[in-house]
Amino acid sequence: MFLAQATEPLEIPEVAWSSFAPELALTAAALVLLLIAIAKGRQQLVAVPAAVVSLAAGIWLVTQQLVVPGGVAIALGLALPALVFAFPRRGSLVQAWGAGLALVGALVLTGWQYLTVLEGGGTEVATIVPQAALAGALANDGIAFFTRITVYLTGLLVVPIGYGYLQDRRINRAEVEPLLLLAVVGMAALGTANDLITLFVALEVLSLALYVLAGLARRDRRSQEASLKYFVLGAVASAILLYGMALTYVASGELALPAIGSSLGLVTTDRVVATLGLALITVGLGFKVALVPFHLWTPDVYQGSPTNVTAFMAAATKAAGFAAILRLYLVAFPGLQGLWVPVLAVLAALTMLYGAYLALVQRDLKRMLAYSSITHAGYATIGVVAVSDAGLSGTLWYLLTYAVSTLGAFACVIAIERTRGGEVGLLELRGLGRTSPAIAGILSLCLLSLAGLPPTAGFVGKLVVFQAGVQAGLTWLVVIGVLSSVVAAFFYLRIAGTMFLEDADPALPLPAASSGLTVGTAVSAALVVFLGIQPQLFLQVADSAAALVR
Amino acid sequence: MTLLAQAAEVTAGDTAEVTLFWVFAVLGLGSALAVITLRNIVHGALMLVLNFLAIAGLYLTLQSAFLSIIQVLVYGGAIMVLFLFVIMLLGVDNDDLLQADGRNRLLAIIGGALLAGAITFAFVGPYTSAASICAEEAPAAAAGQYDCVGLDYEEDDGAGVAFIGRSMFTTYTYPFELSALLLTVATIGAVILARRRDLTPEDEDEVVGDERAEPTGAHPDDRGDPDLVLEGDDAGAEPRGEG
Amino acid sequence: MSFFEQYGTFAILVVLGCLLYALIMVVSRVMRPSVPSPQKLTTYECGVPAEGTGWTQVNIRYYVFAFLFVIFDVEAIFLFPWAVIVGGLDATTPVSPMFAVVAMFLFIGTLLEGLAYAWKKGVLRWD
Repeated sequence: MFLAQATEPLEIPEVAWSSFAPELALTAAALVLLLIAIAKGRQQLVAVPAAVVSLAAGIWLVTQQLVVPGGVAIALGLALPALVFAFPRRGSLVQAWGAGLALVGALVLTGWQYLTVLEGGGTEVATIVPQAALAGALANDGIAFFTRITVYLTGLLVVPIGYGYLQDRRINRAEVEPLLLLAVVGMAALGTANDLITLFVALEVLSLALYVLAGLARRDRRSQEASLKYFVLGAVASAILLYGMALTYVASGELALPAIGSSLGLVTTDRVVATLGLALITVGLGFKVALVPFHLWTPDVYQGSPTNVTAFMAAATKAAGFAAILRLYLVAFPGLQGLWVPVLAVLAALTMLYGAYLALVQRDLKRMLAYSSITHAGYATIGVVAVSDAGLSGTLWYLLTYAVSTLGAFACVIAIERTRGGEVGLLELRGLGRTSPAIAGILSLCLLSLAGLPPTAGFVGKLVVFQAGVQAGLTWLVVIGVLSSVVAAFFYLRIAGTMFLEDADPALPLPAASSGLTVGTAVSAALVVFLGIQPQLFLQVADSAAALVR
Repeated sequence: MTLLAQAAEVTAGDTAEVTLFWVFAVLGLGSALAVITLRNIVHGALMLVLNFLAIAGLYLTLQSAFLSIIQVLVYGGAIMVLFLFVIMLLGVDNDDLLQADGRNRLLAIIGGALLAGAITFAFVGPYTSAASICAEEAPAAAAGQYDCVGLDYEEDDGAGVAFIGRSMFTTYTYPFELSALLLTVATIGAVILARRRDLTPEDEDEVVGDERAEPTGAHPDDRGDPDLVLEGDDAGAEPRGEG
Repeated sequence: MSFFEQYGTFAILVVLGCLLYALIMVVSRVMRPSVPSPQKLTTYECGVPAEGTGWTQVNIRYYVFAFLFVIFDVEAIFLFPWAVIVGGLDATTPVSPMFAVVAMFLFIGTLLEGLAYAWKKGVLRWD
């Protein structure tokens, strides 16, 4: 592309900047927002120089024929002092708007990347610009593209959804938005990581940010418990994962995933060590996406964390974790397919059944959604074990639909939680359909989507994944998936029934949505419907996303 | 261990390495055992320092001086300081956490033995027998087909420091910069963790937004006295089982 | 000269150092008069008698200092390989000197922002 000239080593662009432009923009935004957060009364002292730098970079980019990234840089640069000027004494509004705009910018950059870099080579989507500085560290392919879209979209929706909620609970610290952005950067980097070191560091960036975010409510013991549990168990899982990576390195002598893949395909390579490494990696990543034997942290952490953080964790972490799983298993471990496909298939079956079974008996809405998220990890795994292009794009697509549905559901939980105190139980939902039909309707819609009923996004997601499973000959797994969906549909529908068929308790206060929450919820619901009715656009993209950097 | 011993033999073949290896190996294993058996937790932590130093010595016998220095600086120094501070933060007398019941102990022993056995089995076979793929005379290694990593990469410049530097700025620039973000996130986390006065965070809005409804009963425990955080208020912490 | 022969001098130095220390202690032990009394064994010979042990609970604020120390320790570890190679870079090497310098200063800058954050949040102040 535009960075092909490697003959001038003194020029900076020996780095393929375009390959991580969205993350670069977000990182810069996060660091500037953090500076603004600590600048207190002298915010313009930070905002103006940052804007000048950003404008200069943008103009330079435009002169280099890079209009879109230049435009994004200029827009963000102009927005920053304007925001500080517009909300002089409301730091958290500056933070929220800044983070939101940065995420919009990142989405624009992702789209630009897709149009110019990825599609440039015709139908072969996978391209990585082989440059010195990034050689092999990044892969800009379908997984990366979809992970970015899902994660950035989730972040973009979580910012307005959480704004009012954080204020209500008086935990609207200035660190929230920078941490959120850094977590998003970590997730996107995890989706692009193409060697073990990048993968691990990216995973740690996102995990650490989430540990802090989960414990945001310092006065709430449950939040502290969630943070501590997540941290301790997550640290153990990371250690196990790192051990697995070390063993994989011992077995293959390579760190780059494609090189590991080709090395493990050789007959001379030691299988025993590689298998051990694979096993430990499966445990570590299984923890991160909450597959069943490694799911024990999920209910407590999801229930205890501030609800907007839970929504973010549920939607985005799952997408990032599955991106890592897809890339590792399909690129690095195809040589050991005979080993991991049955194991992951059994894990997926267990996950789907166990999650659905336990979700049935939950009384707390957040806890129920936590078990539902476990179940959905099982469905997404079907696409992984299908080991096919259809399975790959199915999983990516599934994660997107799951993200918007679960975000919408959690947004409704926030709306109810704001006026009704800490816990939202099933009983408190009685008659919500009569008293506040909008929230009840949207919650029902998102739950229908999670259950996989047409015409919602979740239906198309399940359909695609199940199709891939059947094509791969995993009919038994798909049957289990359908069974689990039926069980899950029961409890999703039970909630809808509670809301619309029972009488309301007049003593309960009505849910209230702030403007940000309204926007976030409405957009999530609209996406749920849109992706359900008009899936062709994204399905085509997902189909073309199946080519990987191998 | 056998692997390391053999590695030490392969690299130089004289007795100094082997002697040093056994010294450090015995030291490392002994101190590791002491860490988990000593009753006094501070003594255990000091044994951990010894263990780190012994491992640094093992790295040195593998001719990896830089790794050895990192081990001493970061683990023996910085990480151990953190360990000790946390121990002193919790109080030395709080050793009731050390009372593991028999079942947990058994599980830990079984788990550890399984992992150790698997690792030993996996390494001893391919790397230390006569058919070792890393031996000089093995056909795969001789043909350059198999890269026996870690032992004989780039000979010259300062035991691989320059090698690390070059990879840091060629292949691994991206994770290198990401690790800066990692450390920044960790700093933020540590600061949030340690800050005591939360009721009046300086970064909160001075004007409270008015477009939202006044929450009536939201999270009563969010606004208590900061000093009450750690005591009482067990309403939010009832045991939760599966289902 | 093998790897370990290079360290031979160092080993001799270590052994000599230990011997010297032992020698001084032994000499001092032999030469000094020894008149122990309970008074001499107290922590402070005058003043209030010490109560309890020296191992007391410390403030969590120490933890942040220790943590910042770890972070900058890690930074030093990264700086070292950089310092080794950066002098030898020129236009012919795969890495340009400008690139290495910029990359390292981005790294340091990010860490410094973390430090500035901790500073502004007042965790470095002992009030």
